[in-house]
Amino acid sequence: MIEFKHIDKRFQLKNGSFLKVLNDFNLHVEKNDLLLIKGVSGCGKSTILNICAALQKPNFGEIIVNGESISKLSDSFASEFRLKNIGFIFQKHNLLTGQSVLQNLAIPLLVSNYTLAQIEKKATDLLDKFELLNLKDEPVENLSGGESARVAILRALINDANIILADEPTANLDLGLSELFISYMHLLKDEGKTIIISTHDDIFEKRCNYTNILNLKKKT
Amino acid sequence: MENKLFLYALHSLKRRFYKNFSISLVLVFLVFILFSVLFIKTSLEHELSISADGMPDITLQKLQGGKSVLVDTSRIDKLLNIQGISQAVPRNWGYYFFEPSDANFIIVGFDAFDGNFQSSLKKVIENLDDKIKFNKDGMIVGVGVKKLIEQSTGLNYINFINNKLDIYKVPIIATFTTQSSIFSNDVILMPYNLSKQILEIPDNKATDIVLKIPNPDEIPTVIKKINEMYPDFRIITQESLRIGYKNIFDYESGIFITLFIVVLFAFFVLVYDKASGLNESEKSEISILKAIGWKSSDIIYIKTMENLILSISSFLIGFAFAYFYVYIFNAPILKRLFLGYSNIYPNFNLVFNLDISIITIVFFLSVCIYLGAVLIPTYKCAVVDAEEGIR
Ligand SMILES: Nc1ncnc2c1ncn2[C@@H]1O[C@H](COP(=O)(O)OP(=O)(O)O)[C@@H](O)[C@H]1O
Ligand SMILES: [Mg+2]
Repeated sequence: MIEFKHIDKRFQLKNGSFLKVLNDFNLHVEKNDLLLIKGVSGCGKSTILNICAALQKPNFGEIIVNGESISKLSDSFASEFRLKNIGFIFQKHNLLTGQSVLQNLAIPLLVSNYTLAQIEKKATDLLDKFELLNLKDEPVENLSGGESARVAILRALINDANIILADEPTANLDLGLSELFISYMHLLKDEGKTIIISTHDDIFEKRCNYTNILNLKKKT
Repeated sequence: MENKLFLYALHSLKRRFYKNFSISLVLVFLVFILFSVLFIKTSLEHELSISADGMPDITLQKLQGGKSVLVDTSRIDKLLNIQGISQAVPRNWGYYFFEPSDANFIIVGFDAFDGNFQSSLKKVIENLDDKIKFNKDGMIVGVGVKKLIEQSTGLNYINFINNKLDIYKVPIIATFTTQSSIFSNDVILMPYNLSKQILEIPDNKATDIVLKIPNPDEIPTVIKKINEMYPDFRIITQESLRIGYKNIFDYESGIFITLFIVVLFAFFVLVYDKASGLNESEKSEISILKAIGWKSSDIIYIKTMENLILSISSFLIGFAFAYFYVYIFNAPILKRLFLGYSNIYPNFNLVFNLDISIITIVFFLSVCIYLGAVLIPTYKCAVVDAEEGIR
């Protein structure tokens, strides 16, 4: 379902030299897999997720998601691809401040074909399902850490994507909230989602039954 | 689909209310100042040219030792021999101290209703009372004069007294238009012979001589001939009066230039701040939007809408303020800066004169520059890799 084939990714640094982050990187993720990418900071975890979401392009190699090669998509097709296939959860949860929970959930669908009424219904149903309906109209800056983590998960689900990418989602959460997060991921796996989580925490390995764990080594 | 994004743009404007409000304050102020200055400038120019229309084609003054002295009216006959001059009449002018108001009026004595001068004079007078014959005993006064007479005596005539203590009762038969009042405000126009007596000008003398030249093409040759005939004449054409008027208002006041610079400076600080790149929260918003499936074009669309609404509404508000300030409230303070403090300050009304080029200039200086400053960095940010803002 997700296939990285001989991926090279390098960044040009300010001094002109190149940093090679991925070198002939290969990865195969089956549908409904729950993959954990582990590694120290700077080893390339975010880069892998970004390439998978077509936010970055590899310098070499091919990546195929749901049968579609996405390594050379134009900017606007990449956006369409994301809207259709990817739910992204960021490290800092990255909710848009000044807007309510409902509005944050609605944002991904504003560029879809749904009407505003349909969007509101989808968001409300989702909040209901995860027992967060009482937060519906709350501005996101009033949310606790755990609440905003959950809203960030829901925002990744709103577009019904079957791939969930979570980039160090527990980095800012305490142990209890991290465990809550993991239980959510299990729930999503049970619903048939394909999930990739990057982390440098040990907690995932202890609490999770993973299909797959990838230990990344930092290149020098 | 666009509709949803438009609502999002509206909502974003509301969300960052204080920031947007302060940007819009700067924009409104800039637009207001630009429009006010340009409105006043064009209206003044328009009124000056109306005033100049009422001036003679050529005025001749005799110079002696660099000062103007009385001229012999016997020269008129010889002037009339010059081809192109259809009419030459003597004119007197001088100051008259009007005691009841403690004010100085300018008396211009000139048989204006004779022949060809009438048409140009009619452009600048109103309320002409035809029953009283101007040739004998009437006067046409500026609005300022009329007001002062009414306030101090309640009458519609003046009893002029000269140094020999002769008294001349002269009724008002018309007033100059408000539009021409920059110059006509304190002027009294009366028949030549009457002015001679009030100003005590000797027989066969006048302050100057005015000429009517029906064909403007002939003016240069006429000037040349006058010069040959009477080298001691200073020749003042209507054209040179026009230029002179404009120069009076050529921004002699440093105050308003300073004001101008201050506002422009504030604007360019704003523009520089915007153009030098987006702040962290704006960058992160853009990269989040991209990561959750928005296209660059969607992001540029909402940013364009947001800033179009902001800048165009500021433009309209600034325009409306300037319109009310200049044309309804008659531009207090700023008009003074234009006219200078030294002049007698006439209370004339500015008249609206729609000028597309002014609107274009102000629109470019405000809306276009602002939009460019905001949208170019947005475009750059939305089109580069979105991932950078997320980390
Ligand atoms: N846009 C970029 N420009 C330059 N270097 C980058 C860029 N993005 C990532 N890097 C570098 O690539 C390496 C891997 O980054 P990343 O994938 O974010 O690591 P991780 O998520 O594992 O901490 C790091 O050393 C980082 O500094
Ligand atoms: Mg990372």
